[in-house]
Amino acid sequence: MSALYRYLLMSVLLSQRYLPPTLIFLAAMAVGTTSDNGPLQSSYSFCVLAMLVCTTWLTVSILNHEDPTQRQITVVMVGSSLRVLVITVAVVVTWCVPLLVIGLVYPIVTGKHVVTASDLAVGAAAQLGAALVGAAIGLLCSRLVIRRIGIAMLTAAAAILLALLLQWISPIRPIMTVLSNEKTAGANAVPLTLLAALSVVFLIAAVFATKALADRKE
Amino acid sequence: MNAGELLALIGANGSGKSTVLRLMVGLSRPSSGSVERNARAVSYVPDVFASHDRLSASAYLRHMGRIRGLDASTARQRALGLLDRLALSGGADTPMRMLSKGNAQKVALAQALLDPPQLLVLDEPWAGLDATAHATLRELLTETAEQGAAVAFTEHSADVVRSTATRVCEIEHGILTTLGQQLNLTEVSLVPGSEIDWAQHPDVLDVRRDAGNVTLTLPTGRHDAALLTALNHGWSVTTVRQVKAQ
Repeated sequence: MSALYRYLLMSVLLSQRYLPPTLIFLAAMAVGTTSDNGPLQSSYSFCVLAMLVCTTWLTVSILNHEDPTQRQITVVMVGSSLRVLVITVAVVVTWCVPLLVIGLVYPIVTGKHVVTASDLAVGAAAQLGAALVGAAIGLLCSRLVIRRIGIAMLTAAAAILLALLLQWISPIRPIMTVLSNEKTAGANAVPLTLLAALSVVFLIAAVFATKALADRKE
Repeated sequence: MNAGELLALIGANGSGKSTVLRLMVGLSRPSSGSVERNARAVSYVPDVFASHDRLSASAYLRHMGRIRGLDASTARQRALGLLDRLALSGGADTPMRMLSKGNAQKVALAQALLDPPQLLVLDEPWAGLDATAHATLRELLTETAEQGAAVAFTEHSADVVRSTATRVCEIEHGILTTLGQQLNLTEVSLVPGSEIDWAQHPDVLDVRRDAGNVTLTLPTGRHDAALLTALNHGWSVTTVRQVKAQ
C-alpha cells in the first residue's frame, strides 16, 4: 500500500493545495507568538488553536483534491474503501508534520522563553492532539460526507467552535485548559500525552464514521 | 459472468446500467440481494474520467501500475505500450489536467489494462473516443477476454454491441433480460503459411479447406487473435467478411 501512499502524496504535493493552510498557519504564528515573552506553554496554547483550524482546512483540501471518479478507480483497484481512506489519512498526517515543526519552533525562535525538554514535549503533545482532532473534523466535512462545499465550510466552522467551547466534546478544550494552568511543563506532560492519545482514538472514530457515511451515499 | 465473456448491457438512459456495473465492482451495495464476485483483480473504467492532476499521463499510469503491484519498469513499459496503442495525442508526458475528454478516456482505459484483470467493467467506454481508438478498444477488450477475463460494458450503439459482445443483456424497468448469444459470425479466408492446428484455437468454430486456401469461421469480435496468429505464422489474409449464423 506504500504505492498508493506515494501516489497520493505526490498528487497533493503537485497540487499545492497544502499551501494556503500552511501560509495561514505561518501568518497566525507571526501575529500570535512573535516577541512573546511569557511562559512557552501559553504560546503553545495559541498554536493549538491555529493548528486546529489549519489542519481542518488542510484535511478538507487534501480529501477534496482527489477527483471522485479517480477515487472510484482507486477503491476498485485496492478493493477496500476503508484501506484507501486510511492511507489518505496517513497522507494528511504527513502534511501535518511540517505544521507541527513550525508550531514548535517558531515561538522559540521569535520570542523570549526559557526552553526545557518538558516544554517541547508538552508543545508537541498538545499540537499533535490538535492536528489529529483537526484531521478528524476535516474528514467529516470532506466531500466524502458533505458534497456541497458551502455547507461543509459552515459545518467545519461550527465543529471547531464547539470543540473550543465545550469541555468534553473533543480533547481540544481540555488541552487548552491544561496548557493555561499554572503547573510546570513536567506536571502537564502526562495529561497532555493522554489527551493526544485520546485524539488518536477521536481520529480513528472519525475514519470509521466517514467510511460508513461515504459508503451509504453510494 | 463467465471468464472470456464479453457482456454488453443495454437499456434506455436511467435504466440502471451504470448501477449494475457499480454493483459488479463493489462501488455500490445492493438494497436487497447480494453480489458474489470471485475475481480478485478487478478493473473499472467510469463513464466520465476527469483528473486535475499535474502528473503526466505516463507518471499517473506508472503510479497506478505500482498500486496494482507491478514493478516500476513493468508499469512504465505497459503504460507506454498502451498509450502508444491508443494513440494518446500530445504524447505520454502530457499533464493529466491538460487532456481532452477523449484523451482522458484513453488514459482511463490504459489504467484498467495495466495488469490483466480477471473482471473488467467499463461504463460507456467508446464515448468521446475517436474513430481509430474505437477499433483499438474493441481489439483490447477482445484480447482481454481471450486472456480469461470477464468483460462487461454498457454501450448505446447497436453496431458496437453487435461487433464486440458475445452476450447482450437489456435492462428495462429494473428487469435484466438476456437477449441471447451473439449470432453474427466472421469468415476469414487465408493462404496458409507454416503449420497451425486451428482445431486447437478456442474461438474457431469451423475450418474449411478449398483449393489451397483455408477459411475459418469465428464469432464476430473474436477474430482478431486468430488473424494475429495467422500473420505471425506467415499466413496471408485474403478476405474477412461478416456472415449471419444459420
